[in-house]
Amino acid sequence: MKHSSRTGKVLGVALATVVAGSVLPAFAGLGGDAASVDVDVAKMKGQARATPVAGYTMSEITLPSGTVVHEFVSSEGKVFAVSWKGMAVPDLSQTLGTYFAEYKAAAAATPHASHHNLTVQQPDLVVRTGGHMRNWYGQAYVLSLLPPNFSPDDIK
Amino acid sequence: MRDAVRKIHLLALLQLTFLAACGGSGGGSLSTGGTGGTGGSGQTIASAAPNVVTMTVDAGPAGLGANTTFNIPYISVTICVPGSTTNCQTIDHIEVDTGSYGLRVISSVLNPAIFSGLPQEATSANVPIVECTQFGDGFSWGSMRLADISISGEKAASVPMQVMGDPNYPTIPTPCSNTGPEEDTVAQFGANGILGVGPFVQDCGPPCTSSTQYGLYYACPTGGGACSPTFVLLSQEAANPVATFTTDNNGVIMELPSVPDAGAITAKGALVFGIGTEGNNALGSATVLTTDTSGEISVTYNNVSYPTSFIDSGSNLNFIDPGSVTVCGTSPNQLLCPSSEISTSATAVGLNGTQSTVKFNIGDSTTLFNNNPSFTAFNNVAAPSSDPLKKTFDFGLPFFYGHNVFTAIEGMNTAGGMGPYFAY
Repeated sequence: MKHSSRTGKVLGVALATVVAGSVLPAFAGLGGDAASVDVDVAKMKGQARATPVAGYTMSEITLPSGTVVHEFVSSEGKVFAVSWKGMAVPDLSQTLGTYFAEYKAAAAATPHASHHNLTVQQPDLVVRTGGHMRNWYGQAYVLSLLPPNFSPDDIK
Repeated sequence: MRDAVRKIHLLALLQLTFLAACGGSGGGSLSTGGTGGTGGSGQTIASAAPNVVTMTVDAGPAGLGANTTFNIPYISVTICVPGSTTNCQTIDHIEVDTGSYGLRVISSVLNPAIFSGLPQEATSANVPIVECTQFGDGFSWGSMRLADISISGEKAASVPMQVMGDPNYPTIPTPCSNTGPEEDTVAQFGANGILGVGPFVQDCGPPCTSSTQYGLYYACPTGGGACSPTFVLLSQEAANPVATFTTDNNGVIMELPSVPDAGAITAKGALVFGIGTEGNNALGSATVLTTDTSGEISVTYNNVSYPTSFIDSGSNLNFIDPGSVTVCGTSPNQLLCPSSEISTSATAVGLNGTQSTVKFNIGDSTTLFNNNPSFTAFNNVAAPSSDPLKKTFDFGLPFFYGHNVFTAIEGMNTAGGMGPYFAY
């Protein structure tokens, strides 16, 4: 799957270092630091490349299932948004990090019968998922971590 | 755009309850006056026949409390222990879903005799197979079993189905529970089960016969040993039972009547089996839109192309790019809430290049819900798509009212050509 920047502000492409080490930080995914992207790549056995955009960096991780995960890291070094799309739902405890428990609890509080979509909207966390069997997708972001010039609409 | 989105978030924080469920204070009057329904002229809904089952949109099964459903179509399905004509159970409020594949039933609704009688599928090493079904809002965990499935006069023998929340397998593998919230009770799932009748046969297809990377199938030793990911045979995967019917097995037609712009308490139509196989299921002049290997078509809306689009009776809203339309609402869905109803259209394009333009309306969803809290059928409710790549237009159940929507199964011949396709 190929993704081009909608803003045309792509400055370059760099291969991210895949950390396969034994000591991994406790925090990874959404809300984690920049190094946690490498943790996610290692834990999900993915392949990654990073694309710097003005004010943030988007890392694209292709999982063995073919599902593509995007992690957005601010210039302050925090993962402020993630997204995914593909045949298999990725490990959301990895991609949502410390926010996974909040997502699960909030989702369970508003059960619904439509199994192709869900929005979880918390004071500081938004998770939106959907799709159909053989192609699922989703996105999540932390409002307090969004860079000044970043709109949730810029997630891809 | 960013400011608008942030304003919406602020607004959402002030809303302490789920708008659709709470009803109560109406949010002003709705500007209606448009034509009722979408299309629908000349629509014929099949009457009772062996290949027809009544399909109803209502508030869902008992026990949902405040979380009653809307825009979810339900039918009754009968399952029997394979080969038995007496150890059978008819289960109501099975959700009909063109966006998934196979029958799945919540374990707690099964009576003990049939539950214990349904044979379990096993690996070549004779270890029971349990599935982690991934949905767009969570997962279901439960054993794969074989059942004879009857719907109206149609029968499918010994079809793989899932028993969701099977208490024999209480320990959910971490990679499964890490895909979201669990949905294995009637209250969590909003239905007694789900019947996936999309345009393919299996839920995974060939990939799960040679790889465990998709996280769907596990081998779980009887008696509680640790489960491990497993390959399965194609014939062991959860499967659309229509493809196994002895007749009328090349697809289905969902037939729901038009509903007024303000919505309706309920909508009663039909699920029809077979395409062009009986006097009551002719393709007629419906436009055939073939799908890709994911079951997707392309849609053009507001001059933008959405190449990974689909037609899904299991989506209770149209999930679309909101463009400049106001977004409101909060969990479990954001909603579109224009100040006055919008009449618009989208053009669906099949892999075969044929196209069909669909007119539809977008109303103020929260006002529609609040004005009539007991209504369950709405043809004009929409929400923003969750697709991060912004490539998806999901024609949900609002699209189905007033249209007879055909779903042809992969590899099956019909008068309109070979499936997979959608037609309407």
